[in-house]
Formats: sequence, C-alpha cells, structure tokens
Amino acid sequence: MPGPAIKLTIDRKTVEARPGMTVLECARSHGLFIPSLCDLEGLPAFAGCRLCLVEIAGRPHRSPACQTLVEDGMEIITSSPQLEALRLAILELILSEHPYFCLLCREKPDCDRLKTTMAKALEPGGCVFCPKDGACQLQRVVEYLKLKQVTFDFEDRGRPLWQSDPFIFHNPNLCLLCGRCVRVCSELRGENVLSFIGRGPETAVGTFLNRSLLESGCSFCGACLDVCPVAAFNERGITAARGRKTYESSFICPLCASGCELKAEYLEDGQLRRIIPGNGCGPTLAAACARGRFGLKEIVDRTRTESFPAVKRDSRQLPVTREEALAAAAGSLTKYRPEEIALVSGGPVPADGLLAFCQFGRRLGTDNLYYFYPEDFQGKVAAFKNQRGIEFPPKIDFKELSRYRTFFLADVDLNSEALAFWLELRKELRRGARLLVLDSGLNRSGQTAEVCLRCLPGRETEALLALLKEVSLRSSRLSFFPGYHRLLDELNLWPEEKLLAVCGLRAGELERAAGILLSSSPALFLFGQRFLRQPRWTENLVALWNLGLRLEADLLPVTGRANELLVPGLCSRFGLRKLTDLEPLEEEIKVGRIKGLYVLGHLPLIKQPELLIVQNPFMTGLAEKADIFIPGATCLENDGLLVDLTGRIKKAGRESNLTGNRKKPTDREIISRLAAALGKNLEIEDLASVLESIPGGEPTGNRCGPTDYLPLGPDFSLSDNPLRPAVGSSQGELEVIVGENLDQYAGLVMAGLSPGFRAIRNPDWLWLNPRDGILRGWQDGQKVVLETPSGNLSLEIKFNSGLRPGSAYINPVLDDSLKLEFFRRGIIKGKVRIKS
Amino acid sequence: MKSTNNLVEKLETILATLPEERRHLILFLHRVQQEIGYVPEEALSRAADYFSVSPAEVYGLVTFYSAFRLKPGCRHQVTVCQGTACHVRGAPELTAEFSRLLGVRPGQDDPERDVALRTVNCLGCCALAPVVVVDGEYQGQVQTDRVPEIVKKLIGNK
Repeated sequence: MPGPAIKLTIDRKTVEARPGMTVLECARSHGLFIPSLCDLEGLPAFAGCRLCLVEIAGRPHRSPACQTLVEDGMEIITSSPQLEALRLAILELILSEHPYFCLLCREKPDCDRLKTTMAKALEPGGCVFCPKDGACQLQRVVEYLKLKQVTFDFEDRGRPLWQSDPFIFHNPNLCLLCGRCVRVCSELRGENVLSFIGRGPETAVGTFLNRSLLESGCSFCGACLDVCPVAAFNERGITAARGRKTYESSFICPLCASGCELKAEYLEDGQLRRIIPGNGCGPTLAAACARGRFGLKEIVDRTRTESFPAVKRDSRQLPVTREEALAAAAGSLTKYRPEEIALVSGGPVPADGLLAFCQFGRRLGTDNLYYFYPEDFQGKVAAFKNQRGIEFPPKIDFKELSRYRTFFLADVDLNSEALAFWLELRKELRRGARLLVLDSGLNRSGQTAEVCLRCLPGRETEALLALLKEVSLRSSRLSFFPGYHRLLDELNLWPEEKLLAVCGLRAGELERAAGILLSSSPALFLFGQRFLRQPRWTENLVALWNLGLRLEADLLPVTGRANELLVPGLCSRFGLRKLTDLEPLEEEIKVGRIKGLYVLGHLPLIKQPELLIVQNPFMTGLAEKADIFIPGATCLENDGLLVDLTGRIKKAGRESNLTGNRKKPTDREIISRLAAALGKNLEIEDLASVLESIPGGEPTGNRCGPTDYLPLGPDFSLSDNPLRPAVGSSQGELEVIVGENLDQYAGLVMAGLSPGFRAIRNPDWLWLNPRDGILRGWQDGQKVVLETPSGNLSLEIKFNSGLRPGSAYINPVLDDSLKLEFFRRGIIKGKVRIKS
Repeated sequence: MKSTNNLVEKLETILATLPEERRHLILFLHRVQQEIGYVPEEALSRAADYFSVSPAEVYGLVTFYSAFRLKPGCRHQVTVCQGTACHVRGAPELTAEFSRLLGVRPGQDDPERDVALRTVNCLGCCALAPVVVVDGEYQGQVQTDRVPEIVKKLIGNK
C-alpha cells in the first residue's frame, strides 16, 4: 500500500512522490518529459532502450529512470549536456539498425507538397506510406533530441517479413527490440506466443521454432499492435492516415460479458479504418481481442451493402422507408390478439434495447415474452442455491480480487470468454497470486497455470473430490462447518487411486495443486457455463462447494454473455421468460397458437409464423424470410448500454464525432417509435433499478447464508465409469466436449464471412491432441465426419497440445437443432470417420 | 514411427527423474543433449508442456545459449571459448588455427570428417584461459602451437 508521500528533487525542483513509484513515473506525473522507447505504463520495466538514463546525486553511474525507484531526498537531473550527448549516441546506435530516412529527411517540411521521399527509402521506410507515421515514437524522440544525422551506416537486417498471418503484419527490420510486444504477450495477456529468440546482434522477436503466429497458437488479441512504438507490428493492410481526416466513435463491444470499450476509426469517405481498444487509459490497460477488433471489422467490411427496411408484398421483400416499415409493423401487430403474438430476443442486444423490448412486450399485453439462450447458466446457479440453501455472490467486484492468493478456474477459460476478468486476474498473478486450472476441454488460460488439471470429460466431480481428499489428508486442520465428518465418511468410501483413475489425473499434479491451495490462501474458485453444461452439473457444484468450504475459499460463477446479469431482473419485473430451446416455440407456431412473431436480433428459427417481424442490423437468413425487416444500428454505430460481468452498466465514454447521416436509430429508438405507432408510450425505466431488482436481493458479503458441507447424495457413485477403450483402438469412441462459440454477431458468423478469421478460429474444427493424430494416422486439416447416434457433423481436424490426449473439443456455431442439442448436452460421444 | 517412439521414450525417461518445476528446464535440456547429441523439436515442446513454460520461451532459451544444438551434431566437437579472458589471451587466433587445420569454419559442421568447430561465449573457467573443450574434455591455457597435436589426436581417433 502506498505509504506517506516522500520528497525529492527533479531538476532542482522539489516534488512529492509515492514510495514504489519509478523515477520516470514521478517525472511524468509532474509533467516532465524523459525520452524513452521501451517503457510503457502497465508493463513491467525493461530498461532496454537506455534513453531514459538520468543522473542521481551520489550514484557513480547514470540510472535508467524506468527501473529506478524513488527514494526520499533523491536528487535527480533529467537533462544535462552530458546526458543529452549520451542519449544522442544511444539513439544513433538504435538507428544504425532501423531505417531512419523517414526521420531525417531534409524535404520533410515540404513533404505534404512534394511527396518525393516514397521512392527513396526501404520499404516501408517511405514515411508517407508508413502506417505509424505521425504516431511513431521514434519520430517523437528524434524531434526531442534534435537529432541531425546518424554517424553510423545503416545496416539493413534483411530479415523476411511475417506475411502469412491474417490481421497482424510484422516487419522485423523495423523492430527496436524494446520488448514491449514480448512483455505484453507474456506478462499481461498470458499468451506467451512471442519471445526474444537468439542472442546478441542476432536477437529478434520470434515464436517457437520461428513458426507463423497461426501455427504458434496465437489468439490474435492484437495487443502487440497497440504497444509497438514503431511500425514493426501493424494491422495488416492498414494504410497511413497522414493528411486524411479520421472520425472516431467509441462503443461497448457486445460480444462477451467483458464489455470492453472499443473505438472505431473511420476515414473521410466513411470506410472503417480499424477498431482499436479505446478506454483512454493507454494501450496496456485497455482490452480488446480478435473478436472485437478484427471480427467486427471483417463483418462491417464484408457486409458492404447497407441494410434497408423492407416489407414483403406478394412474397417479395420491397425496400421501404423506416417510417413505412414501422407503420406496417404496427398495423400488422394490431391484427392479432395479444396472446397470439410472441416477442423473442436473441443475440447481443444493448441493455437499453432489451429493456425497451420487455416494456414493449408488457404494453402489448402478451405473456409470450422470451429471451433465447441455449444455456440458462444463471438460472441453474440460482436454482442450485435455492435448493441447497447456500449462498455465494452472483458476480465479482474487481476490487475484491486483490484479497485472493490463489485462483482456481473450473471449466472456464477467462482468456477467451471474459477478457476483462482475465486481465484483472493476470495483475494479481504478477503480484504473486497463483493460478490453477481444472478443465477437461480446451482452455487457453491453462497454458499459464501453475498446475493445469486436464481431467477426463465429465469427470470434474471426481477430480474435485480427489483434490478435496488430498487437501484433507495433507492438512491436519479441522473444519468446523457442519457436515464435515459426514463428508469425510463419504470420501472414505472412495480410495484416492480409484478417484484418480476415474478422473484421469496423476497423483503428482494433484499433490502440487493441493500444496498450492493449502499454502496460499484464500482462494477464489471460479466456474463457467461449461462446468454446468454437463449431465452431472449438480454433483460438480456440490464438489466445488465442499472443496471451497474446506479451504474457506469463495465461489464465483463467471457469466460469459453480455447483459446476462440483467436478465433475472427483467424476468421478475416484466415477466420475461427464458427460452433454452426453440422447439416449444416452433410447436406453438405449428399449431397456430402463435401467429405473429417479433424477433429482436437473431434466432436460428426454422418454422415460419404467419407474421414475422425481424429487427436486426444485418440482412441475415432469418431477416430474408421476414415479412417486415427493420434494421437497427450495429454495435459500432450504437451508443447503447451494456451490463458487464461485474454487473456494471457500461456506456461508451466519449461522444462520437460521426457525421449526422451515418447515425442509425438504435434498437431502443426503433422499439419506442413502434410503440408510439401503436399508441403506447414507453417510459424507459432506469436500468440500475432493474439490475437491483434481482429476486432474493443481493448478498452483502462474499459468504452468507448457511455454511454447511453438502452431501453428495445416494445418486453419486464411481461405478458408472465407463472404462473407455484406449485411444487408438479401431472402434474407439471419442468423448467430445462442446464449447461455446462467441465469434458471431447479430446472426453473422465471423469465420463464415472472413477467411482470415476462419484461419484463426474455425467453428468447424475438431480439436485433438497431436498425439492422438500420430496414433491414428490423422493429419492436421483433414476433413472428417463426427458420427454420433443423434446425427453427423462435418468437421476438420485441428491439433492443439493444450487438449488432453484422448479428448476432443468442438465449438460449433449453433445454427441448427443438432448443434443446439450437442451444446446443451455439453459432452457427446462420437466416432471419427475420414472423409474420402 | 519407431524412431519417434524411441525418442518419446528417451525423453520420458529423462523427465521421470526431474520434478515439474521450471528451474529444472535447463538441466533437462542438457541431459537431452548429452543423451541424444542435440535437442530435437519434440524435446522442446515436451519440455514446455512438462515444466509449464511457454514453447516460445523454451525456444528463446535454447537459441540464447550456444551450448545447445537444435540439429544433430558431429561425433567430434571442438569448442573454443570466446569469453573476455580467453579473448585477450588469444582465443581468436586459436579459433582461426583450428579452423585452418580442420577445414571447418567456426559454427559449422564437417559431416565428412565428422568434426564440428564451435564457439561459446564463456565456459566459466576463465583462470584457465584460453580454454578449449575437445570432445567434452577441458583443456586450459592452449596455445596455437598445441593445436596441430590436438587435431591429430582427434582425427586419429576417428
């Protein structure tokens, strides 16, 4: 914790600082500029560029300001003739390997007029083409140090460019080896794809065996693009913005529950230039992932044709004005009785749009108000809590995270499902907290875990019980919560070897996990929807609860979907009903009980009702079938609100400076206007009050209510372990874990639209451990059919060593009933047949 | 197929003697090189998995230390230290002499004569400078006039 302020002098001025600050941070906080290239707020200090050297009284050598901590009474000189000379010499050395024609061009002042340099310099040293031009930090340092010439000959490294990856382009010849990308990749993101390869002059930023990013398992979060001080890392195909006006618009990304604030940058002609993280607190603290920054851009790029409102006449959709479409919708809705109308919301919709939608349904007087999502995660958690009479908080406050010394992720991949949470958790890991992961499927977060327990599919319960047993054996401390002795009796029924055999874990890894849990407490146990999307989800929760209680740890469900925390409030306030399966609705349509259907967002609907009204930003397959299609604004153009996984209502910070005609009506505005056309005025309620109206109220602490150990019950037994046939046997069935695919927006699948995105993450991949491939003679990229009793799925083999050998993983887009069924079952069994 | 399994077996045997902690990574890589003669790709991936270190970091490490080889080496190996102490006591001349007599450039292999000439940044026994390691045997204070004798012994060994 920051102690009392200390006093020191910088350039003979007395300033105050907090202990633990670096000299560079202190100088910056007082508005002093010290040149530096490798330092970046939020990244661990590296002291690689040596430009921030300062003189400190009493020290024989000059010290790098970025790595020197302030001390009481320190006397610092940040600028002197000797220092400037030293910095200039260092900068010249840096520039001996970085093209500097763009920095020292004599024609620079007239460049806008002449533009003659482009042909002279090495690619892309021609400054007018360099996408970093104007934002290059070398330019800034050269300007500050007033560098006039470089005495050394420029030595071109002549290294090949990284051109085979989608979205990310790397030119190693421009790299300064500042290590920002390496640090952001490993320390902040925990991706560990980039590293320094080689030694001495040969050193370069590289990957494992110098493979492409695609082959290295890069998630394409793009953090390296944001931190690179020069143009070494750049978004593929991006052009220089110099001389052109850009327009920016901030928005909250609706694709997961993180609620990252992003910024869309448009060129004058309205073309989307790029999407970058945009919460204004520097590149390392802002979050964005491939989905938000590249996937959304690809969707916008590839659905060039703007969607216009349409009304179907004589079975053909005709373009109409927005007012006509709204009038047609209002007119046709009045033809039906309220109980004949159903309203369904699917896909990511802004929170305020969802609220307006519920109020509209209520005002229409229909009971058929639905929220479609194939997995009712919150509902299951709430039901479990009620049934067992226990309590744990439904959401996290990030400020609470610093209390925990160990994080245990059970079937939740924070890195892919809740990036904001992952970045907060990584901060704690850097402060010495430990990370354990239990997952039977693919888990990117598991790569950086101290122990990653990869159990057999659906054997999480046994894994947790084995861990509980190990913990109780190793720690002589008793637990005083009721039911402990009964639990020990239950545990005694199962020998540890048997538990281990059933869940497929090794004794060594279990011992290490137990050791970590016992030595660094308190722990926080997080679980995601995959933990509950299993046949034995209640047993999973019981085991996790008991383990948590034994360690006096806390339990936390992690919501994967935006606005999911708002839904219980909407259910209690407006009678919104959750729909996990479309079949009942289609049945109602079939028998004619529901005649008019209003869809907000996207829905994988097959049966068509008499009247179908679709409100969605894009002309999707469902929208093409619609009688009336009303396009709303996309999330990029929308200043909509969103409820994130911490339960906060998020709103894009800055007002956009887009021109007026580019603004489309938001979902809330469309619904309000539609309601007005029906003579019903909507008074949009306050979101905060809806959030607080969750039934049962919110617990005040992290553990309230009864603290009893839960019995596993008579249903639980180890005998139902199907001794699976060894992998490699001819009739060997695979157990396939079905994950969630978040790479879609408003019914558009990123992989379907963009070949680049398909190369990163293909929803048709069958993930396997490479060892299984070697054993069975399967190849990466081979087309296969997964045969299951319920139906077959065409897939493509993709190797990933992060998966347990013998298990497989798919994350399909849920666009048909078979995939929906697989998703709900969580784990399926199937045989793999090679397509001829 | 068989050679792959053989390799996997060898790696697992070495791993079985080491705890799954990252500090044992370098020891593992040394043992692999001792056993197999070089560090194959499979060993790098397996080590990354076993010691919970990212593959990129393992690769960065083996490329940083010149003691590790990523390709099969030759039967005979002459390593000349290039550390500061060795440098001032004539390591560059020594290297040149070895290079001339062996007909191999530093860092290169001669598959025909099965001899490789290597340079390393420091062997840590600077008191013996200049140091040469011939087939694992450390020889201190080697002067250029001793080089023909060493080379003769080495090639005679063949």
